[in-house]
Amino acid sequence: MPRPTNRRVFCRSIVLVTSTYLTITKTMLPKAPSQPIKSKAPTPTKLHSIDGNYVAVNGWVIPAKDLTQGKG
Amino acid sequence: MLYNFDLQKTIDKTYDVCIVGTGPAGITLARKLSKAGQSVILLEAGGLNYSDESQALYECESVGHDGWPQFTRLRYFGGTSNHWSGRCRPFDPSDFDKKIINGLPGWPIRHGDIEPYLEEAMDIVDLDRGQGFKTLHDELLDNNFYSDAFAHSPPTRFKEKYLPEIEQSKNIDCFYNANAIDLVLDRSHQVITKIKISNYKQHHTLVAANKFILCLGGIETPRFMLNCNNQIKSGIGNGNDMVGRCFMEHLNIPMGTFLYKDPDQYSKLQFYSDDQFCSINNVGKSNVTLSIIKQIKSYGRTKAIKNFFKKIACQMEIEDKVQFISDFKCPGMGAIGTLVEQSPNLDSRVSLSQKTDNFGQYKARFDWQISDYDRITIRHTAITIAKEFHKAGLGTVRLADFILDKNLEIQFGHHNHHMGTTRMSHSPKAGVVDHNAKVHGIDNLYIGGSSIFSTGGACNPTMPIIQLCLRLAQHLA
Repeated sequence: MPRPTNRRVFCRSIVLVTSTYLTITKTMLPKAPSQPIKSKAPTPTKLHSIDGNYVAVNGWVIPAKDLTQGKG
Repeated sequence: MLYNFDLQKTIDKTYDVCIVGTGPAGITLARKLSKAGQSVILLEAGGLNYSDESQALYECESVGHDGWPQFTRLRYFGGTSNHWSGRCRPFDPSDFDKKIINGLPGWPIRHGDIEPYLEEAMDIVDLDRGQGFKTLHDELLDNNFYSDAFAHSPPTRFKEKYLPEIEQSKNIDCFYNANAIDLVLDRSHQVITKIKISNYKQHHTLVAANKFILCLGGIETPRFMLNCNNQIKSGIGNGNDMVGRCFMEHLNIPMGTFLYKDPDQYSKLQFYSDDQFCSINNVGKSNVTLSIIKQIKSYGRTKAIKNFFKKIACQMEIEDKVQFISDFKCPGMGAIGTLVEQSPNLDSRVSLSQKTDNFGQYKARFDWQISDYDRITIRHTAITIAKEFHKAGLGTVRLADFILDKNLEIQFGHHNHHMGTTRMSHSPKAGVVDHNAKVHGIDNLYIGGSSIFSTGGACNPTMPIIQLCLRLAQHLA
């Protein structure tokens, strides 16, 4: 039976991979921008109907009427 | 008096009571029974301080959802009180309502049976009786939830506070480095006559007492009982295969995030589901906390490593993707914390592994499972709090995908509250101990601690543990 990976083993692997990666790429990559670059691709909207009065839009729980009537 | 078992060859005295374990349960029982004039032997498996040798005995084979017991419990004098957070909240009367969940009955006792011990329990953990339990804020929601009231112990470290008293007590003989490894029954198999103990150098001896109380926590108590199988093959008190069943935790659900409408008005809100909401919807109880994260926080001995990874995840904005590893919360986020009641279910259990520890005892096989009842509780609670939060004009909640999509497996973590594995019930078919915390079928074996909880409510267990131990002490004195 293969031994399941526990959190300690997982964390050790991450430390090794991250530190190796940072060491190798430090001089190779351009300086990171001060603000994270956001993708400009539109995010798909996930719509969940909760009940007659509320919906979740990408997880945000709002009144259903805000979708149809907008919010003043 | 305090003794190092490494320096003892035999213990010849027969005690009135033998208590195994020096956490809040064991120490509370020892102090109360000694004051009632009983001679007590109090056994601690670890030393007076943390050691890897003792802690390693918590290692178990985890085959279900992992609760990391070897990192969350502490195996030395004072037990897990050496690192508890100190949050206290008493059980509600409705926690003791007669109710069948997953085919299992609730508590066989009523709230009135433990309520008289509340003030004494508050004294033990240094809470101010006059101050009582307070809310963070006024009532803000109209329906289904109310502002939760609680109190914070300093937190009381039982070793620091009570070790001097135990050292000086004439009625308590406390032995450390004394691991319980077996119970000896008489011919009838209904009375425990002796307990076998061992130090780490494999020096054994037998200790005689008239009554025995196990206070080893929600995993070690059933493991010990199942390992006591020399005279009864299925283990002590396990005639109905109930020892180790119904393991419960308080579920920590990464429910989502939120935005305040007015960020300057509140820093932290805390709500509790009301009885009507739970009853009408047939769901468990829950405590929900909404707060703005000010800085990355981690706990435990590996907090530096945890902080390192959390900072990387927050900088890379991948915290949503790595929630399965740990609870990643970044500064500025509105975090929703939960302490949700898990229902008892037979499939969530502690049994014995095939692997053994240094004493030749089988290690625990830990299989933590939630039920469909819990899934309904989690989803219904999350959606309702999101709606109520918006209705009250406090802001907007963003729920995690697994809350809204029933096809996704629910993510949950632990609160280090191990409950239910020797649950209290009238019938031996539905539990391990009776209404007096006596093991069914054994005349003089009792259990103290959260393993006897029939249901866990949504309150931190230390104070109810102490209330139940005070009640047990009164019964035995």
